[in-house]
Amino acid sequence: MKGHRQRLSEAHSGAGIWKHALGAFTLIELLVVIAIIAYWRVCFCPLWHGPKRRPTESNASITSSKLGFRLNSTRTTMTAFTRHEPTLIAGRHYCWNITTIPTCWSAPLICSGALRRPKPAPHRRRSRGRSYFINGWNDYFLSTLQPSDFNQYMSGSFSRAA
Amino acid sequence: MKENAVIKPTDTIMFGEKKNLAQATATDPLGASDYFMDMFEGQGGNDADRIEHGCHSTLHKGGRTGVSNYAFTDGSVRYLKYGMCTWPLNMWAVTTLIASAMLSSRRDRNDLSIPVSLF
Repeated sequence: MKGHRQRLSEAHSGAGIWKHALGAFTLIELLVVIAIIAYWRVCFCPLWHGPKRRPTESNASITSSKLGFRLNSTRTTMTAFTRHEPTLIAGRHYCWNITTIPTCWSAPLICSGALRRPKPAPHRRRSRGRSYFINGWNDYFLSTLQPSDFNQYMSGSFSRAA
Repeated sequence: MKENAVIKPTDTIMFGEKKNLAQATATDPLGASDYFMDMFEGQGGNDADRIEHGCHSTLHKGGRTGVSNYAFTDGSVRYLKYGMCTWPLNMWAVTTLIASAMLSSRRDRNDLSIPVSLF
């Protein structure tokens, strides 16, 4: 009976309401924090969204009038990447320099210090170029040529191969 | 060489990736100027010492991981995992005998009566 009276008095005084409100407030607070984080993510990390990445990846119809806009937009996204994804920026930035504005390396006036020249990631470094092999068909010529001719073929002096 | 000499065009590589050797060295006088994959040349054959088996999808070059792209005689381009272009079938070879002989050792090549002067 005493407990019932106490609960009634708490209800009338508003303490019970506050207890309930405090529990709901933490949930609301959580939702607000999530909303703020989502807003910050949209503001500061535009490259996480596909449509905003598209201008940095397509260069088929680029014109000189669009160049300034694309430089600025790319600089914004690159800044975002610099802040958040230091590993990814090397590859992304490298691709941007090669595919979108190839003259960026040789014409510093276009960049004019707007973009820092990135250090390529080790596994993406392509400045050394690539090397390729053509099949020499050694086993075929071994089975079809005479030994002397095959030796000449391997030494690069076979007359019929010229 | 006629195209129909290739018995298995789908499994015969025509064009592949090579280790990017910039300059010739004392042990490797040809260096980057060697364009032909000669399996009877070099240290164990160019398929052993010159081909880049893991050119892509690898974080650390030099390891035995990754893949490389190859153009085949039938016109297709495929990637093969590290070492799979020479084992269990040597896809650089045309003749079935050599392709399946796993030419990874000098002894096997001597068994095929290849002139020693070529090595």
